[in-house]
This record gives sequence, structure tokens and C-alpha cells, in this order.
Amino acid sequence: MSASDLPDELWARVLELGAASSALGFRDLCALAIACRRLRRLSLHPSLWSSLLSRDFPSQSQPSSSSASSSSQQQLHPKSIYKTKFERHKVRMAEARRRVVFEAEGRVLACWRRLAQLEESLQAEGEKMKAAAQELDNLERVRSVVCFESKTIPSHVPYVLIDSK
Amino acid sequence: MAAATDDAGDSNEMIRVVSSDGEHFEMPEAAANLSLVLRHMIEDDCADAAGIPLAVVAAKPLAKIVDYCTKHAAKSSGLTIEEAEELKRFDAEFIEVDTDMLYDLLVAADFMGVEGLSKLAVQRTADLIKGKTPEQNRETFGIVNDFTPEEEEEICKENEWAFQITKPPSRLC
Repeated sequence: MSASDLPDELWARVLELGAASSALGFRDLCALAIACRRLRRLSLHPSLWSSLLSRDFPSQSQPSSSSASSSSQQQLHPKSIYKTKFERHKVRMAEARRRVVFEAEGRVLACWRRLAQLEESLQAEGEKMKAAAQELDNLERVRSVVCFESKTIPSHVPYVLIDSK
Repeated sequence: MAAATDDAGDSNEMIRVVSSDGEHFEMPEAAANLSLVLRHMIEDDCADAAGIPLAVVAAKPLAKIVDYCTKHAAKSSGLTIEEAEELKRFDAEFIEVDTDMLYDLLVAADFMGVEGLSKLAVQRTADLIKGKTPEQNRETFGIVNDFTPEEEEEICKENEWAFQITKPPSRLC
């Protein structure tokens, strides 16, 4: 016995249960449709695609309230509706991904800016530090001179030693 | 005590069935009752010593079906969690068959009205389809591509939206 000997009814049950139990998805049904004429016919059964629609797009399964679009949808095969929703969903997902990338790029840019600011202030601080060190040095010099002048320096300490501090 | 063994004896009565190729099989009545067709025949007193003839079920699948029914009838009511798990494991091993046997089981279980087995075989077939390319499906199920090249091209085009690389919506939401 081969697959072609299986009656339509059994194949239909396989597809129906597969779609209902989530074993089979839209891609599996499309792959079957390409396999041969009979499976194409069986895989196009509207109830299969209706159940995929309510499974994969549960929030949109309610018929649209605007009468114009719901009456035009009724004439469409559920597979076409699925395809449309799927492609719309794909576009939305791509947009969402692009948005995420855009936002991340924004954050990277902000970080770069902050880094540049930090580097700038680091440099400024460095210069300030250098100036302060210079200042300190000068003060020390002044102090040593003052010390020299105000205190009685023991005669055995040479001036040179005090100056070099 | 005696009554209890008598009752057990009654429900353990063996039912004989005969495959399309003339082989005889035996199973407890409780097992045969899992088949709608056999149950009706038993109820109608058609189960005699000669056995119930099953004109469309060959010996090979029938042996499997007798196995299935016997196992499931022995553990039909008041299952503990372990027993249910064991039955699940039995089912999983039981249905690990080649596609020829799978088709035989699909047809035979449907014909005999063995609901559990029918579902098991149907689910197994669906699992075999899952994730396959059209060509892999043809190979797995021995399907002949009967489209003309023009038709095939058109049909591929019609379905190509499903194969462009992207994740299925259910997993993205």
C-alpha cells in the first residue's frame, strides 16, 4: 500500500488533526500543495486555513467591523487571507526590528557623545591638575624662602638643601 | 470469591478474528471492545469459534492492532500517573513503524473503528509531514509529482510567500 492508496478522507483527517494540534503550519500545507495535485486539492480545504488563521492571528480573527472589507474578505479563500495577513505581519515585524536597531543606534550615538564630553573634561581636569601642581610647587618655594628668612637656620644646614625640597 | 472469578472469567473470554489472508488471532473481549466494529459484532452474537472475518485487514497490521487493543484494554480505567506515562511510551514505540505499516494501520484502524489507534496513526502521519520540503514529502510518502512543468512553476510561485526566510508568526507574537 502506498500514500496514493490512502483515501482522501484519511488524508483530510491527517491534515485536519495536524492543523488543529499545531503539528502542521502554513509552510507545511504549502509544501504539501506543491507535492502533487491531490495533496494540493486537499491542502486547500478552507477549514484548514481558517483554523490556521485563528491560531496564528487570534487577535485579528474577528471579522472586521467595516462592512466593505468583511464582505470582500468573505469571497476570498482563507489561504489568501492568511497570506495577506502573514505578509502584513512580516512587514510589521521588519519595521519593528528596524525601529529597535534605530533606537539602539541612537543610544550608541548618545554614549559616544557622552564619552567625548568625558574625554574633554578629563583633559580639562588634567590641565587644572597641572596648574594646581605648579601652584603647589610655587607655594612650597615661597614657604621655604619664608622659613629660611624667619627661622634661625642652624649653621650646619646648607642653604642648598632647603632650597631643593 | 467464586463469583468474582466467574466474573473475571466472563470478561476474559477470548475473541477470535481472522485476517484477510486467513490468519487467526485471539484477544480478550475487553480488547476487542475497543474496536467499534468488533464490539457491534460481539453484541450481535457474531463472535463464534470460527472467528470474526476482517476482509480488509491483513495479518501484519492485524497483529499490531491486536497488540494495541490488548495493551490498552488491560489499562483502560483508573490509570495512575505512572501507568498513563507507560501507556504513552508504549504508544510512542508502537507507532514507530515504516510508512507502509503506517498506511495499513491508518486504514485498518479506521475500518475497525479503533479510535485511539486511528488518532495515533493520523498524528504520526502529520508529524511525518511537518517541516518537510515538497520533494522530501514526495520521497517520504512515495508521491509522484503529477504537475506539468508549467503548472509546477505556477504552483511554486503561488506558494513561495511561505518559504521566504522568516519566523512563523506564532513564534514571533
